[in-house]
Amino acid sequence: MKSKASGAGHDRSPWDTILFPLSSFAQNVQGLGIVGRQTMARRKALIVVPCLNEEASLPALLDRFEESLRPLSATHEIDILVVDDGSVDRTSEVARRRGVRVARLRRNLGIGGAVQTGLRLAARQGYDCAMQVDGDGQHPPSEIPSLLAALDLPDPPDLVIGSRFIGSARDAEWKTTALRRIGIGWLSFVLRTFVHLDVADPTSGFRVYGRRALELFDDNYPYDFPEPESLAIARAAGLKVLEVPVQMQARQGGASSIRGFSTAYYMLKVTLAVLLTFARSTSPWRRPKRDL
Amino acid sequence: MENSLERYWLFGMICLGYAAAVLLLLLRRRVTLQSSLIYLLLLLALGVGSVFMTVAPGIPAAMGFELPSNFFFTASIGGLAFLYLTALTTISRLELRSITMVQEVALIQEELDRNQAQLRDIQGRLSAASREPG
Repeated sequence: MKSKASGAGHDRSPWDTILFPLSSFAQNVQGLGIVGRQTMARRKALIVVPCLNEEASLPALLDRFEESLRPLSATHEIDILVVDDGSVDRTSEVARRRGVRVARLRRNLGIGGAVQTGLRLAARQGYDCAMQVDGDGQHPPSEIPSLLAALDLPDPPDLVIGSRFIGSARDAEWKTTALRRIGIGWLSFVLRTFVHLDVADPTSGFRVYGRRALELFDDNYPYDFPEPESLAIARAAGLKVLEVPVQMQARQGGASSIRGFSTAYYMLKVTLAVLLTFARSTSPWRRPKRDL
Repeated sequence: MENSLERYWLFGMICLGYAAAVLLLLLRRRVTLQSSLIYLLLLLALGVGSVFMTVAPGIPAAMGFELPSNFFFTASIGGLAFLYLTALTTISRLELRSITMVQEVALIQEELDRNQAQLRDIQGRLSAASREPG
């Protein structure tokens, strides 16, 4: 058995003789940046799934991942990371048993802290991009290919947002409430006015982070209601942001953290955070980054 | 002075009780001297200022206060607001550090889990290979 395996390299077909030097040449050329990487090597992507007590809904989500990611296997090398945000149920065990990577936070950090954990891992382990997909089932894995495809555009964005309010997504069956639409409209207005970023769905957490975004958010990612603020940070850092229409679904389990009194706090906090980001980006007294 | 003691003895006892409580917290290391030094100095300044308020009447007058007591209260509130601000910056810094530490622990644990899984895999293969005849 062993001798057959080791001898396999000597049984090259005539095609191998021609193609091997060609692929070696192509790899060298790719290293010089002459050929686009997606045509040569598979893009290394990490899917970050922040979870809080999703023991019941996680297996179904992971099944759907498997199904949706299969067509991407030729062009992408995809890992899944479940970030357990201090769950009190068996979320981590369920995820480990399914063979995905698991980062278990010892205490609940909120969505921002959980997402940043995944982005940190992706930035440090050399992933080309990371994708945020919520564990509550709102973000259908079937939309992942269309979001990742945006990175293959001639002028690829650094941050891709799955939007519910543009293009074909506007006709989706599932709609958010009128009050939320007003809030989202306000945040869009604030982002457009102060950081000159025109985004229809700034609260969407269905996103793809390119390499530059990973490096930025490894260092600086908001912890409390992070989505709109992270857009302002990305814009202030000169990152290119693109929206792609996606169909989202109603939450499969759990409840939104933004309800009742927290809605008013959310709007106030996010508005102030965007204004502060704008002020910091234009301030002549910006402090250099430093470790905590 | 005797009259003052008669009038304020109860208030004085409360102040002494508070000072004893602060001292106890310091001795038990529930409050560190490093983080509470400004607070203790402010308390000392307030205590000294309240006892000797009439010694330097020129200062309140120079600051535009008609009564020394008004100046004293304003200065006290200002001092406490400053202390609160320093406490806020300390709490914010500690909060960020604590979040970073929780994240780092999770990432290290994840790496450890993966390495252990790889090790188990290698050990399994080795034992399978050693069982193979020849």
